[in-house]
Amino acid sequence: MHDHPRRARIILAVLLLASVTVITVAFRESAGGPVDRLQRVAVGLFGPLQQGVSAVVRPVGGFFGALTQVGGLRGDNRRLKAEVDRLRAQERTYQDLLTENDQLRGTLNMARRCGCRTVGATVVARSGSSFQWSVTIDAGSRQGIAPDMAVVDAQGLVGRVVAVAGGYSTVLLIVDPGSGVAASLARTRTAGLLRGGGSGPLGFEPVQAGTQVKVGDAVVSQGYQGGIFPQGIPIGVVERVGPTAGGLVQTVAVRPYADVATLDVVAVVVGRPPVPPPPAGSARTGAGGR
Amino acid sequence: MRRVLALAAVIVVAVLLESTLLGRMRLGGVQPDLLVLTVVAVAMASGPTSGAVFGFWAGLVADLLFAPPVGVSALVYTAVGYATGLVRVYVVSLSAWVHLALAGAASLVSVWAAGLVLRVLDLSSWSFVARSGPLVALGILLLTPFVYPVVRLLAERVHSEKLYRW
Repeated sequence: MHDHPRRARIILAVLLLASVTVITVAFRESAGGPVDRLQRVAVGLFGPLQQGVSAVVRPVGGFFGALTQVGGLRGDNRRLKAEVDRLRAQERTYQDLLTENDQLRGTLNMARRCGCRTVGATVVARSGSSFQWSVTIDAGSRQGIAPDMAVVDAQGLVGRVVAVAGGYSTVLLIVDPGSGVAASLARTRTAGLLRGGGSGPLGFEPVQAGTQVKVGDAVVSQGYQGGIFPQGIPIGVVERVGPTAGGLVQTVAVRPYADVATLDVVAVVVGRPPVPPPPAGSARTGAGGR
Repeated sequence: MRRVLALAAVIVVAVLLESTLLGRMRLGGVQPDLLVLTVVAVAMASGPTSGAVFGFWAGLVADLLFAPPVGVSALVYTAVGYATGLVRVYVVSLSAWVHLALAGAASLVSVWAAGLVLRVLDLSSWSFVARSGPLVALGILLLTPFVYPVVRLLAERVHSEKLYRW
């Protein structure tokens, strides 16, 4: 190929500039902006593919371990082992179904606790980056999902919907460093912001300085006024209360109840039912911030 | 055209595997970055320009699918693709070890570069960035023997056409 250094440098500059522009636009735009629309297209295109590959990959992953054990044995022995492995895999599938059933029941209970109207969904893909904690689920705008809706599992809050396509959506998990959730301490009703800490614990930042926070305090979600983010969904428990950083805000480490690494079945809170029934268009308002 | 389709297919397959199979294999909070491996392979086969263009699209697709911040991977992969394409002139060895080391180094650099950008945007911590680099590189070293030759062979086969119009 004729890679003229000058031309290559120009192309590099154009691409780098394009990337920086995308970053800037993505950070500044509101819902419905160009990057948001592109995201929706991408999720809609890749959702079905990811679902298909997930379905194939699951048993493959299970078999892979089994196959490595079989290797190196004699032929007949190998055949018998394979037979056992096949049966074991079948049993695992059965166990999988039992576990899934349990998870579904648990998730349903969690939704009932806040009296929320929910839509069930399965995780079809996870974030492909070490720095981003998100999942793709198999429910989208056709199921009534909209951006900023809360996502729960049997243990508690797991994240917030960020991009929605027809049958799929992307959920930003609470542990993602870009995730900020309005939360409060169940004991004192102290409000604050719960920020993701990646592979570490969540960080709770009380709104008011000088708030009393104790290890073991439960942290629950805080409803938005006019929004549909449910109130009182369990999120986690205070694990460590650090010294006051910079003399202003305490550093409070919170361990989430939900194990987002093994997420499989979730429920998206699509409405807060009791009184009064929310107007159809209200789902998109409120709940801002990254 | 054939080339664009082939390389687009590489991106699609890599993104799918990354988000399904590898997405379940987080170790210490990080997972091997299959995409950076494909970027290195394409850049080694086709040079800095193709490496940068391929890196940009691979990064953009990944960014759009894997939630915010959109554009960071595109930025980093573009740079990695270009840099690897430049380095290839000096890599005359056919030894697999050299290519393995190159892939490992590229992934280490890309993770640290992405981490740096995210740290600037206040979306990551120094400790995680520092820790994740070597872990991702280690994962890459395990993946390289399976992925690298395939992508590189594919990229070399469809080399005759250009990836861009200028």
